[in-house]
Amino acid sequence: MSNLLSLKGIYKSFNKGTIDEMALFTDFNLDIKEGEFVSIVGSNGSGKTTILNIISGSTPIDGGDVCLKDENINKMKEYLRARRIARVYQDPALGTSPNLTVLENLALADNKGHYYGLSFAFNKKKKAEYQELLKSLNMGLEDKMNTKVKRLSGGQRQALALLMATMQPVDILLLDEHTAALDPKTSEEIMELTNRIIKEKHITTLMVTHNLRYAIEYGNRLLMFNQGSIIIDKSDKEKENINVDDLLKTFNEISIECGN
Amino acid sequence: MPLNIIFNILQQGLCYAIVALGVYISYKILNFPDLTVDSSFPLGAVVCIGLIQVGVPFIIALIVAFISGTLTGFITGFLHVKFKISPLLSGIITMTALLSINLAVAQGRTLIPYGDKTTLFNNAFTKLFGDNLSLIALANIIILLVIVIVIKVLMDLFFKTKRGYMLRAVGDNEQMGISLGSNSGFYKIFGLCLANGLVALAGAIYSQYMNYFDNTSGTGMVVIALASVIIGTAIFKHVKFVKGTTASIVGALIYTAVLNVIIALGVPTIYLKLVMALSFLVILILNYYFFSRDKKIKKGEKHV
Repeated sequence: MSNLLSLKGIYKSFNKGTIDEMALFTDFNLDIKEGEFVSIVGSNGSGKTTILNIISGSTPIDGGDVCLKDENINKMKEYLRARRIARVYQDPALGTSPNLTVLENLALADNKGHYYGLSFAFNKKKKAEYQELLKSLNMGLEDKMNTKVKRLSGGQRQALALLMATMQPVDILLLDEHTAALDPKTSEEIMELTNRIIKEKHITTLMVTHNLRYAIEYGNRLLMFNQGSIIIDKSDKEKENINVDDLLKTFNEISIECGN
Repeated sequence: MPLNIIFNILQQGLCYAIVALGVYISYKILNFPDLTVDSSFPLGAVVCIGLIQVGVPFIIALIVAFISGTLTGFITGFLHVKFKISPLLSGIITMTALLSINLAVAQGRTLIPYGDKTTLFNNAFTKLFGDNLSLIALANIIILLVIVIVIKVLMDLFFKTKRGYMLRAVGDNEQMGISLGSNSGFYKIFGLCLANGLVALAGAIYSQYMNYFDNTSGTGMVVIALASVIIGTAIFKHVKFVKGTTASIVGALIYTAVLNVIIALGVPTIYLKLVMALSFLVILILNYYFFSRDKKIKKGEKHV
Protein backbone atom coordinates (compact mmCIF):
# COMPACT_ATOMS: atom_id res chain seq x y z
CA MET A 1 0.00 0.00 0.00
CA SER A 2 1.21 3.49 -0.74
CA ASN A 3 2.13 5.97 1.92
CA LEU A 4 -0.57 8.37 3.01
CA LEU A 5 1.81 10.66 4.82
CA SER A 6 5.55 10.80 4.59
CA LEU A 7 8.05 12.94 6.40
CA LYS A 8 11.37 12.99 4.59
CA GLY A 9 14.63 14.29 5.99
CA ILE A 10 12.95 16.67 8.43
CA TYR A 11 15.33 19.15 10.01
CA LYS A 12 14.10 21.34 12.82
CA SER A 13 16.00 23.35 15.38
CA PHE A 14 14.85 25.67 18.12
CA ASN A 15 16.29 28.97 19.39
CA LYS A 16 18.07 29.41 16.11
CA GLY A 17 20.98 31.82 16.12
CA THR A 18 21.29 31.84 19.89
CA ILE A 19 23.66 30.06 22.23
CA ASP A 20 20.76 27.76 23.19
CA GLU A 21 20.29 26.51 19.63
CA MET A 22 19.13 22.93 19.75
CA ALA A 23 18.50 20.72 16.77
CA LEU A 24 15.58 18.47 17.69
CA PHE A 25 15.23 16.70 14.35
CA THR A 26 18.16 16.08 12.05
CA ASP A 27 17.09 13.93 9.13
CA PHE A 28 13.86 12.55 10.59
CA ASN A 29 11.92 10.12 8.41
CA LEU A 30 8.50 8.61 8.94
CA ASP A 31 6.00 6.95 6.61
CA ILE A 32 2.38 6.41 7.57
CA LYS A 33 0.25 4.03 5.51
CA GLU A 34 -3.41 4.44 4.85
CA GLY A 35 -5.55 2.98 7.63
CA GLU A 36 -2.80 2.89 10.24
CA PHE A 37 -3.58 3.85 13.82
CA VAL A 38 -0.22 4.86 15.22
CA SER A 39 0.41 5.53 18.89
CA ILE A 40 3.44 7.62 19.76
CA VAL A 41 5.09 7.57 23.17
CA GLY A 42 8.23 9.19 24.49
CA SER A 43 9.53 11.40 27.25
CA ASN A 44 9.01 15.15 27.44
CA GLY A 45 10.98 16.98 24.80
CA SER A 46 11.37 13.92 22.61
CA GLY A 47 9.56 15.65 19.76
CA LYS A 48 6.16 13.93 19.80
CA THR A 49 4.07 17.06 19.83
CA THR A 50 6.50 18.90 17.57
CA ILE A 51 5.97 16.24 14.92
CA LEU A 52 2.21 16.78 15.12
CA ASN A 53 2.81 20.54 14.85
CA ILE A 54 5.00 20.00 11.79
CA ILE A 55 2.35 17.83 10.14
CA SER A 56 -0.48 20.24 10.89
CA GLY A 57 1.63 23.19 9.78
CA SER A 58 1.61 25.19 13.01
CA THR A 59 5.40 24.80 13.32
CA PRO A 60 7.53 25.59 10.25
CA ILE A 61 10.38 23.23 9.38
CA ASP A 62 13.96 24.18 8.56
CA GLY A 63 14.47 21.42 6.03
CA GLY A 64 12.95 18.28 4.55
CA ASP A 65 9.56 17.50 3.05
CA VAL A 66 6.09 16.80 4.35
CA CYS A 67 4.02 14.88 1.80
CA LEU A 68 0.35 14.03 2.05
CA LYS A 69 -0.93 11.58 -0.57
CA ASP A 70 2.23 12.18 -2.63
CA GLU A 71 1.63 15.91 -2.61
CA ASN A 72 4.27 18.12 -1.03
CA ILE A 73 2.50 20.31 1.51
CA ASN A 74 5.53 22.20 2.86
CA LYS A 75 4.17 25.51 1.69
CA MET A 76 0.50 24.85 2.42
CA LYS A 77 -0.93 27.16 5.09
CA GLU A 78 -2.12 25.71 8.37
CA TYR A 79 -5.81 26.48 7.81
CA LEU A 80 -5.72 24.84 4.37
CA ARG A 81 -4.01 21.75 5.74
CA ALA A 82 -6.69 21.62 8.45
CA ARG A 83 -9.25 20.74 5.78
CA ARG A 84 -7.43 17.45 5.32
CA ILE A 85 -5.70 17.02 8.66
CA ALA A 86 -7.97 17.11 11.72
CA ARG A 87 -6.61 17.56 15.20
CA VAL A 88 -7.79 17.14 18.78
CA TYR A 89 -5.75 18.90 21.43
CA GLN A 90 -4.93 18.11 25.04
CA ASP A 91 -6.62 21.33 26.14
CA PRO A 92 -10.38 20.88 25.62
CA ALA A 93 -10.62 24.66 25.16
CA LEU A 94 -8.71 24.55 21.85
CA GLY A 95 -10.92 22.24 19.85
CA THR A 96 -14.24 23.93 20.51
CA SER A 97 -15.63 27.43 20.76
CA PRO A 98 -16.46 27.89 24.48
CA ASN A 99 -19.04 30.68 24.19
CA LEU A 100 -21.00 28.97 21.44
CA THR A 101 -23.54 26.25 22.16
CA VAL A 102 -23.03 22.58 21.36
CA LEU A 103 -25.42 22.92 18.44
CA GLU A 104 -23.61 26.00 17.08
CA ASN A 105 -20.24 24.28 17.35
CA LEU A 106 -21.53 21.25 15.46
CA ALA A 107 -23.08 23.42 12.75
CA LEU A 108 -19.70 25.11 12.26
CA ALA A 109 -17.78 21.84 12.12
CA ASP A 110 -20.30 20.38 9.68
CA ASN A 111 -19.39 23.12 7.21
CA LYS A 112 -15.64 22.66 7.59
CA GLY A 113 -13.68 23.37 4.45
CA HIS A 114 -16.72 24.89 2.74
CA TYR A 115 -17.67 28.50 2.25
CA TYR A 116 -18.99 30.25 5.35
CA GLY A 117 -21.53 32.48 3.67
CA LEU A 118 -24.80 34.15 4.52
CA SER A 119 -27.04 31.11 4.58
CA PHE A 120 -28.43 29.98 7.92
CA ALA A 121 -26.08 27.75 9.84
CA PHE A 122 -28.56 24.94 10.42
CA ASN A 123 -32.19 23.92 9.98
CA LYS A 124 -34.59 21.59 11.80
CA LYS A 125 -33.50 18.56 9.82
CA LYS A 126 -29.83 19.18 10.53
CA LYS A 127 -30.62 19.75 14.18
CA ALA A 128 -32.25 16.33 14.45
CA GLU A 129 -29.26 14.82 12.67
CA TYR A 130 -26.85 16.39 15.15
CA GLN A 131 -28.95 15.15 18.04
CA GLU A 132 -28.66 11.59 16.74
CA LEU A 133 -24.91 11.99 16.38
CA LEU A 134 -24.58 13.24 19.94
CA LYS A 135 -26.72 10.38 21.20
CA SER A 136 -24.30 7.91 19.63
CA LEU A 137 -21.50 9.34 21.79
CA ASN A 138 -23.24 8.21 24.99
CA MET A 139 -21.94 11.24 26.85
CA GLY A 140 -25.30 12.83 27.67
CA LEU A 141 -24.66 15.59 25.15
CA GLU A 142 -27.95 15.13 23.29
CA ASP A 143 -29.78 16.94 26.12
CA LYS A 144 -27.29 19.81 26.10
CA MET A 145 -27.63 21.03 22.53
CA ASN A 146 -28.28 24.60 23.64
CA THR A 147 -25.71 24.69 26.43
CA LYS A 148 -22.61 26.80 25.98
CA VAL A 149 -19.63 24.52 25.53
CA LYS A 150 -17.73 26.14 28.41
CA ARG A 151 -20.41 24.81 30.76
CA LEU A 152 -19.71 21.19 29.77
CA SER A 153 -17.40 18.82 31.62
CA GLY A 154 -13.91 18.17 30.27
CA GLY A 155 -14.93 14.74 29.01
CA GLN A 156 -18.00 16.07 27.22
CA ARG A 157 -15.90 18.78 25.60
CA GLN A 158 -13.30 16.31 24.38
CA ALA A 159 -16.04 14.02 23.02
CA LEU A 160 -17.50 17.00 21.19
CA ALA A 161 -14.07 18.05 19.90
CA LEU A 162 -13.51 14.53 18.62
CA LEU A 163 -16.88 14.46 16.90
CA MET A 164 -16.25 17.89 15.36
CA ALA A 165 -12.80 16.91 14.10
CA THR A 166 -14.17 13.85 12.31
CA MET A 167 -17.53 15.17 11.09
CA GLN A 168 -16.22 15.92 7.61
CA PRO A 169 -14.04 13.32 5.91
CA VAL A 170 -10.33 13.90 6.55
CA ASP A 171 -7.14 12.23 5.37
CA ILE A 172 -5.56 11.96 8.77
CA LEU A 173 -6.45 12.57 12.42
CA LEU A 174 -3.92 13.88 14.92
CA LEU A 175 -4.60 13.25 18.60
CA ASP A 176 -2.34 15.27 20.87
CA GLU A 177 -2.55 13.70 24.35
CA HIS A 178 -6.26 14.25 24.03
CA THR A 179 -7.14 12.33 27.19
CA ALA A 180 -4.34 13.71 29.37
CA ALA A 181 -6.41 16.43 31.03
CA LEU A 182 -9.22 14.06 32.04
CA ASP A 183 -9.81 11.90 35.10
CA PRO A 184 -8.98 8.17 34.69
CA LYS A 185 -12.58 7.03 34.16
CA THR A 186 -13.44 9.75 31.66
CA SER A 187 -10.10 9.26 29.98
CA GLU A 188 -11.01 5.60 29.49
CA GLU A 189 -14.41 6.52 28.03
CA ILE A 190 -12.91 9.02 25.59
CA MET A 191 -10.28 6.51 24.53
CA GLU A 192 -12.98 3.89 23.82
CA LEU A 193 -14.98 6.46 21.90
CA THR A 194 -11.90 7.47 19.93
CA ASN A 195 -11.20 3.88 18.98
CA ARG A 196 -14.81 3.36 17.91
CA ILE A 197 -14.89 6.46 15.71
CA ILE A 198 -11.55 5.64 14.11
CA LYS A 199 -12.66 2.08 13.33
CA GLU A 200 -16.10 3.08 12.05
CA LYS A 201 -14.75 5.75 9.74
CA HIS A 202 -11.43 4.05 8.91
CA ILE A 203 -9.45 7.17 9.71
CA THR A 204 -5.67 7.07 9.56
CA THR A 205 -4.60 8.31 12.99
CA LEU A 206 -1.51 9.52 14.83
CA MET A 207 -2.00 9.53 18.59
CA VAL A 208 0.51 11.03 20.98
CA THR A 209 -0.01 9.72 24.50
CA HIS A 210 1.72 9.49 27.85
CA ASN A 211 -0.35 6.47 28.72
CA LEU A 212 1.74 3.41 27.81
CA ARG A 213 -1.22 1.10 28.27
CA TYR A 214 -3.30 3.01 25.72
CA ALA A 215 -0.35 2.97 23.35
CA ILE A 216 -0.22 -0.82 23.55
CA GLU A 217 -3.94 -1.54 23.75
CA TYR A 218 -5.05 0.69 20.91
CA GLY A 219 -3.88 1.05 17.37
CA ASN A 220 -1.87 -1.19 15.08
CA ARG A 221 1.52 0.51 15.20
CA LEU A 222 3.59 1.85 18.05
CA LEU A 223 6.43 4.37 17.94
CA MET A 224 8.70 5.46 20.75
CA PHE A 225 10.49 8.76 20.31
CA ASN A 226 13.69 9.76 22.01
CA GLN A 227 15.48 13.05 21.39
CA GLY A 228 14.07 13.49 17.94
CA SER A 229 14.48 9.96 16.65
CA ILE A 230 12.33 6.86 16.58
CA ILE A 231 13.81 4.13 18.79
CA ILE A 232 10.92 1.66 18.69
CA ASP A 233 8.71 1.05 15.68
CA LYS A 234 6.49 -2.04 15.93
CA SER A 235 3.52 -2.92 13.75
CA ASP A 236 0.72 -5.46 13.90
CA LYS A 237 2.03 -8.86 15.17
CA GLU A 238 5.20 -7.38 16.64
CA LYS A 239 3.20 -4.78 18.44
CA GLU A 240 0.87 -7.35 19.97
CA ASN A 241 3.83 -8.92 21.73
CA ILE A 242 4.88 -5.75 23.54
CA ASN A 243 3.74 -5.29 27.10
CA VAL A 244 3.78 -2.30 29.43
CA ASP A 245 6.76 -3.59 31.43
CA ASP A 246 9.01 -3.91 28.37
CA LEU A 247 8.02 -0.50 27.23
CA LEU A 248 8.58 1.00 30.66
CA LYS A 249 11.99 -0.65 30.83
CA THR A 250 13.10 0.93 27.56
CA PHE A 251 11.59 4.17 28.71
CA ASN A 252 13.63 4.10 31.91
CA GLU A 253 16.83 3.21 30.09
CA ILE A 254 16.59 6.17 27.79
CA SER A 255 15.60 8.39 30.69
CA ILE A 256 18.75 7.42 32.57
CA GLU A 257 20.83 8.12 29.48
CA CYS A 258 19.33 11.57 29.31
CA GLY A 259 20.02 12.10 32.97
CA ASN A 260 16.35 12.49 33.90
CA MET B 1 -36.98 65.61 34.48
CA PRO B 2 -37.83 68.20 31.81
CA LEU B 3 -39.17 66.67 28.63
CA ASN B 4 -36.50 68.25 26.45
CA ILE B 5 -33.75 66.49 28.38
CA ILE B 6 -35.47 63.15 27.86
CA PHE B 7 -35.81 63.90 24.16
CA ASN B 8 -32.13 64.83 24.00
CA ILE B 9 -31.13 61.65 25.74
CA LEU B 10 -33.17 59.53 23.33
CA GLN B 11 -31.84 61.24 20.21
CA GLN B 12 -28.21 61.26 21.30
CA GLY B 13 -28.53 57.84 22.88
CA LEU B 14 -29.89 56.26 19.71
CA CYS B 15 -27.00 57.74 17.70
CA TYR B 16 -24.56 56.29 20.24
CA ALA B 17 -26.48 52.99 20.11
CA ILE B 18 -25.33 52.56 16.49
CA VAL B 19 -21.72 53.09 17.61
CA ALA B 20 -22.33 50.61 20.43
CA LEU B 21 -23.65 48.04 17.93
CA GLY B 22 -20.45 48.43 15.93
CA VAL B 23 -18.23 48.16 18.98
CA TYR B 24 -20.27 45.16 20.12
CA ILE B 25 -18.89 43.37 17.06
CA SER B 26 -15.27 44.36 17.61
CA TYR B 27 -15.13 44.23 21.40
CA LYS B 28 -17.61 41.52 22.37
CA ILE B 29 -17.65 39.24 19.36
CA LEU B 30 -14.03 39.54 18.22
CA ASN B 31 -12.52 40.39 21.63
CA PHE B 32 -10.69 43.24 19.90
CA PRO B 33 -10.54 46.60 21.75
CA ASP B 34 -10.59 48.80 18.67
CA LEU B 35 -9.49 52.42 19.10
CA THR B 36 -10.09 53.21 15.42
CA VAL B 37 -13.59 54.22 16.51
CA ASP B 38 -12.49 57.67 17.70
CA SER B 39 -11.56 58.57 14.13
CA SER B 40 -13.91 56.46 12.04
CA PHE B 41 -16.83 58.27 13.70
CA PRO B 42 -15.84 61.77 12.44
CA LEU B 43 -14.67 60.24 9.14
CA GLY B 44 -18.22 59.10 8.48
CA ALA B 45 -19.44 62.58 9.34
CA VAL B 46 -17.02 64.42 7.08
CA VAL B 47 -17.55 62.06 4.15
CA CYS B 48 -21.29 62.48 4.53
CA ILE B 49 -21.28 66.28 4.72
CA GLY B 50 -18.81 66.54 1.88
CA LEU B 51 -21.07 64.50 -0.40
CA ILE B 52 -24.27 66.26 0.64
CA GLN B 53 -22.68 69.65 -0.03
CA VAL B 54 -21.89 68.71 -3.59
CA GLY B 55 -25.49 67.62 -4.07
CA VAL B 56 -25.43 63.88 -3.42
CA PRO B 57 -28.70 62.60 -1.86
CA PHE B 58 -28.31 62.02 1.88
CA ILE B 59 -29.16 58.30 1.67
CA ILE B 60 -26.27 57.71 -0.73
CA ALA B 61 -24.03 59.90 1.43
CA LEU B 62 -24.86 57.67 4.40
CA ILE B 63 -24.03 54.52 2.45
CA VAL B 64 -20.70 55.96 1.30
CA ALA B 65 -19.98 57.01 4.91
CA PHE B 66 -20.54 53.39 5.96
CA ILE B 67 -18.14 52.20 3.25
CA SER B 68 -15.51 54.73 4.33
CA GLY B 69 -15.74 53.27 7.82
CA THR B 70 -15.29 49.71 6.55
CA LEU B 71 -12.03 50.85 4.93
CA THR B 72 -10.67 52.09 8.28
CA GLY B 73 -11.64 48.78 9.85
CA PHE B 74 -9.86 47.00 7.03
CA ILE B 75 -6.65 48.95 7.68
CA THR B 76 -6.68 48.26 11.42
CA GLY B 77 -7.48 44.60 10.84
CA PHE B 78 -4.86 44.25 8.13
CA LEU B 79 -2.15 45.76 10.37
CA HIS B 80 -3.10 43.35 13.13
CA VAL B 81 -3.46 40.21 11.04
CA LYS B 82 -0.66 40.72 8.53
CA PHE B 83 2.01 42.27 10.72
CA LYS B 84 0.92 40.84 14.08
CA ILE B 85 0.63 44.34 15.58
CA SER B 86 -1.42 44.24 18.78
CA PRO B 87 -5.09 45.31 18.57
CA LEU B 88 -4.46 48.47 20.64
CA LEU B 89 -1.50 49.60 18.55
CA SER B 90 -3.15 48.82 15.22
CA GLY B 91 -6.11 50.90 16.34
CA ILE B 92 -3.93 53.78 17.51
CA ILE B 93 -2.03 53.91 14.24
CA THR B 94 -5.15 54.01 12.09
CA MET B 95 -6.90 56.41 14.45
CA THR B 96 -4.00 58.88 14.46
CA ALA B 97 -3.49 58.74 10.72
CA LEU B 98 -7.19 59.36 10.17
CA LEU B 99 -7.09 62.60 12.15
CA SER B 100 -5.16 64.13 9.26
CA ILE B 101 -7.28 62.41 6.63
CA ASN B 102 -10.43 63.79 8.24
CA LEU B 103 -9.02 67.31 8.22
CA ALA B 104 -7.92 66.89 4.62
CA VAL B 105 -11.40 65.78 3.55
CA ALA B 106 -12.81 68.76 5.47
CA GLN B 107 -10.29 70.95 3.64
CA GLY B 108 -8.86 72.12 6.95
CA ARG B 109 -12.17 73.24 8.42
CA THR B 110 -12.99 71.92 11.87
CA LEU B 111 -16.66 72.89 11.77
CA ILE B 112 -18.92 72.63 8.72
CA PRO B 113 -22.66 73.39 8.92
CA TYR B 114 -25.21 71.49 6.83
CA GLY B 115 -27.30 74.65 6.45
CA ASP B 116 -30.71 73.84 5.01
CA LYS B 117 -29.62 70.85 2.95
CA THR B 118 -31.99 67.88 2.91
CA THR B 119 -30.88 65.33 5.48
CA LEU B 120 -32.26 62.47 7.54
CA PHE B 121 -33.66 65.04 9.96
CA ASN B 122 -34.64 67.74 7.49
CA ASN B 123 -36.87 66.31 4.77
CA ALA B 124 -40.47 65.93 3.66
CA PHE B 125 -41.21 63.53 6.54
CA THR B 126 -39.87 65.76 9.32
CA LYS B 127 -41.59 68.81 7.83
CA LEU B 128 -44.92 67.08 8.58
CA PHE B 129 -44.19 67.66 12.25
CA GLY B 130 -44.17 71.45 11.83
CA ASP B 131 -42.11 73.92 13.85
CA ASN B 132 -42.85 72.66 17.33
CA LEU B 133 -39.48 71.67 18.88
CA SER B 134 -40.93 68.74 20.84
CA LEU B 135 -42.65 67.39 17.75
CA ILE B 136 -39.46 67.74 15.72
CA ALA B 137 -37.59 65.84 18.42
CA LEU B 138 -40.27 63.18 18.27
CA ALA B 139 -39.84 62.87 14.51
CA ASN B 140 -36.08 62.53 14.97
CA ILE B 141 -36.57 59.84 17.59
CA ILE B 142 -38.89 57.86 15.29
CA ILE B 143 -36.35 58.04 12.45
CA LEU B 144 -33.46 57.01 14.69
CA LEU B 145 -35.44 54.24 16.31
CA VAL B 146 -36.31 52.75 12.91
CA ILE B 147 -32.66 52.86 11.83
CA VAL B 148 -31.40 51.32 15.07
CA ILE B 149 -34.00 48.54 14.96
CA VAL B 150 -33.26 47.75 11.32
CA ILE B 151 -29.52 47.50 12.07
CA LYS B 152 -30.18 45.38 15.15
CA VAL B 153 -32.44 42.94 13.28
CA LEU B 154 -29.97 42.66 10.40
CA MET B 155 -27.16 41.96 12.87
CA ASP B 156 -29.22 39.34 14.72
CA LEU B 157 -29.98 37.63 11.42
CA PHE B 158 -26.33 37.83 10.40
CA PHE B 159 -25.23 36.13 13.61
CA LYS B 160 -27.41 33.17 12.70
CA THR B 161 -25.66 32.62 9.39
CA LYS B 162 -22.61 30.47 8.80
CA ARG B 163 -20.43 33.54 8.49
CA GLY B 164 -21.88 35.01 11.68
CA TYR B 165 -21.13 31.79 13.55
CA MET B 166 -17.62 31.77 12.18
CA LEU B 167 -17.07 35.35 13.33
CA ARG B 168 -18.16 34.43 16.83
CA ALA B 169 -16.03 31.29 16.86
CA VAL B 170 -12.90 33.14 15.69
CA GLY B 171 -13.38 35.81 18.35
CA ASP B 172 -13.89 33.10 20.92
CA ASN B 173 -11.00 30.86 19.98
CA GLU B 174 -8.70 31.78 17.12
CA GLN B 175 -7.46 28.22 16.72
CA MET B 176 -11.07 27.21 16.01
CA GLY B 177 -11.12 29.12 12.74
CA ILE B 178 -7.94 27.39 11.62
CA SER B 179 -9.23 23.98 12.70
CA LEU B 180 -12.34 24.60 10.61
CA GLY B 181 -10.14 25.11 7.58
CA SER B 182 -10.71 28.83 7.42
CA ASN B 183 -8.46 31.85 7.43
CA SER B 184 -9.12 33.35 10.89
CA GLY B 185 -7.44 36.59 9.86
CA PHE B 186 -9.93 37.11 7.05
CA TYR B 187 -12.87 36.86 9.43
CA LYS B 188 -11.23 39.23 11.92
CA ILE B 189 -10.72 41.83 9.22
CA PHE B 190 -14.27 41.29 7.99
CA GLY B 191 -15.64 41.85 11.50
CA LEU B 192 -13.61 45.03 11.98
CA CYS B 193 -14.86 46.34 8.62
CA LEU B 194 -18.46 45.82 9.70
CA ALA B 195 -17.81 47.37 13.12
CA ASN B 196 -16.17 50.51 11.79
CA GLY B 197 -18.69 50.77 8.98
CA LEU B 198 -21.41 51.05 11.60
CA VAL B 199 -19.36 53.55 13.62
CA ALA B 200 -18.84 55.77 10.56
CA LEU B 201 -22.52 55.49 9.71
CA ALA B 202 -23.31 56.58 13.28
CA GLY B 203 -20.92 59.52 12.88
CA ALA B 204 -22.68 60.57 9.68
CA ILE B 205 -26.12 60.28 11.27
CA TYR B 206 -24.96 62.15 14.37
CA SER B 207 -23.60 65.01 12.28
CA GLN B 208 -26.92 65.26 10.44
CA TYR B 209 -28.72 65.30 13.77
CA MET B 210 -26.45 68.09 15.07
CA ASN B 211 -26.75 69.73 11.64
CA TYR B 212 -22.99 70.33 11.48
CA PHE B 213 -19.75 68.40 11.20
CA ASP B 214 -17.44 68.76 14.17
CA ASN B 215 -13.90 67.50 13.74
CA THR B 216 -13.65 66.63 17.45
CA SER B 217 -16.95 64.74 17.63
CA GLY B 218 -15.14 61.40 17.78
CA THR B 219 -12.98 62.15 20.80
CA GLY B 220 -13.98 59.80 23.58
CA MET B 221 -16.29 57.80 21.34
CA VAL B 222 -14.42 54.62 22.28
CA VAL B 223 -15.24 55.24 25.92
CA ILE B 224 -18.90 55.92 25.19
CA ALA B 225 -19.21 52.79 23.07
CA LEU B 226 -17.32 50.49 25.42
CA ALA B 227 -19.26 51.81 28.41
CA SER B 228 -22.53 51.21 26.55
CA VAL B 229 -21.65 47.66 25.58
CA ILE B 230 -20.33 46.81 29.04
CA ILE B 231 -23.34 48.30 30.88
CA GLY B 232 -25.76 46.56 28.55
CA THR B 233 -24.17 43.14 28.68
CA ALA B 234 -23.66 43.37 32.47
CA ILE B 235 -27.31 44.20 33.11
CA PHE B 236 -28.64 41.44 30.90
CA LYS B 237 -25.94 38.93 31.69
CA HIS B 238 -28.30 36.47 33.28
CA VAL B 239 -31.30 37.18 31.06
CA LYS B 240 -30.96 34.62 28.33
CA PHE B 241 -33.51 35.88 25.83
CA VAL B 242 -32.02 39.39 25.58
CA LYS B 243 -29.51 39.45 22.76
CA GLY B 244 -26.16 41.22 22.94
CA THR B 245 -27.36 43.69 20.31
CA THR B 246 -30.39 44.72 22.37
CA ALA B 247 -28.22 44.92 25.47
CA SER B 248 -25.78 47.26 23.71
CA ILE B 249 -28.61 49.57 22.59
CA VAL B 250 -30.07 49.73 26.11
CA GLY B 251 -26.56 50.27 27.49
CA ALA B 252 -26.04 53.22 25.14
CA LEU B 253 -29.32 54.80 26.24
CA ILE B 254 -28.45 54.35 29.92
CA TYR B 255 -24.95 55.76 29.57
CA THR B 256 -26.20 58.77 27.58
CA ALA B 257 -28.84 59.35 30.25
CA VAL B 258 -26.24 59.27 33.01
CA LEU B 259 -24.02 61.78 31.18
CA ASN B 260 -26.90 64.13 30.40
CA VAL B 261 -28.28 64.05 33.92
CA ILE B 262 -24.88 64.86 35.41
CA ILE B 263 -24.46 67.81 33.02
CA ALA B 264 -28.06 68.90 33.70
CA LEU B 265 -27.26 68.96 37.42
CA GLY B 266 -24.96 71.87 36.73
CA VAL B 267 -21.54 70.37 36.04
CA PRO B 268 -19.85 72.70 33.52
CA THR B 269 -19.61 71.12 30.07
CA ILE B 270 -15.82 71.50 30.00
CA TYR B 271 -15.83 68.60 32.45
CA LEU B 272 -17.85 66.39 30.09
CA LYS B 273 -14.93 64.11 29.22
CA LEU B 274 -13.96 63.87 32.89
CA VAL B 275 -17.52 62.88 33.69
CA MET B 276 -17.44 60.36 30.86
CA ALA B 277 -14.24 58.75 32.08
CA LEU B 278 -15.28 58.69 35.73
CA SER B 279 -18.71 57.25 35.08
CA PHE B 280 -17.09 54.61 32.87
CA LEU B 281 -14.78 53.79 35.77
CA VAL B 282 -17.72 53.57 38.17
CA ILE B 283 -19.47 51.24 35.72
CA LEU B 284 -16.44 48.95 35.52
CA ILE B 285 -16.18 48.84 39.31
CA LEU B 286 -19.90 48.16 39.72
CA ASN B 287 -19.64 45.49 37.06
CA TYR B 288 -16.80 43.88 38.99
CA TYR B 289 -18.54 43.87 42.37
CA PHE B 290 -22.17 43.31 41.54
CA PHE B 291 -22.60 41.76 38.15
CA SER B 292 -19.91 39.13 37.92
CA ARG B 293 -20.88 36.12 39.98
CA ASP B 294 -17.41 34.83 40.49
CA LYS B 295 -15.01 37.67 41.01
CA LYS B 296 -11.92 35.75 40.18
CA ILE B 297 -11.25 36.03 36.49
CA LYS B 298 -10.78 32.52 35.30
CA LYS B 299 -8.12 31.50 32.88
CA GLY B 300 -9.22 32.16 29.36
CA GLU B 301 -12.08 34.43 30.31
CA LYS B 302 -12.12 37.93 29.03
CA HIS B 303 -11.16 40.77 31.33
CA VAL B 304 -13.78 43.50 31.54
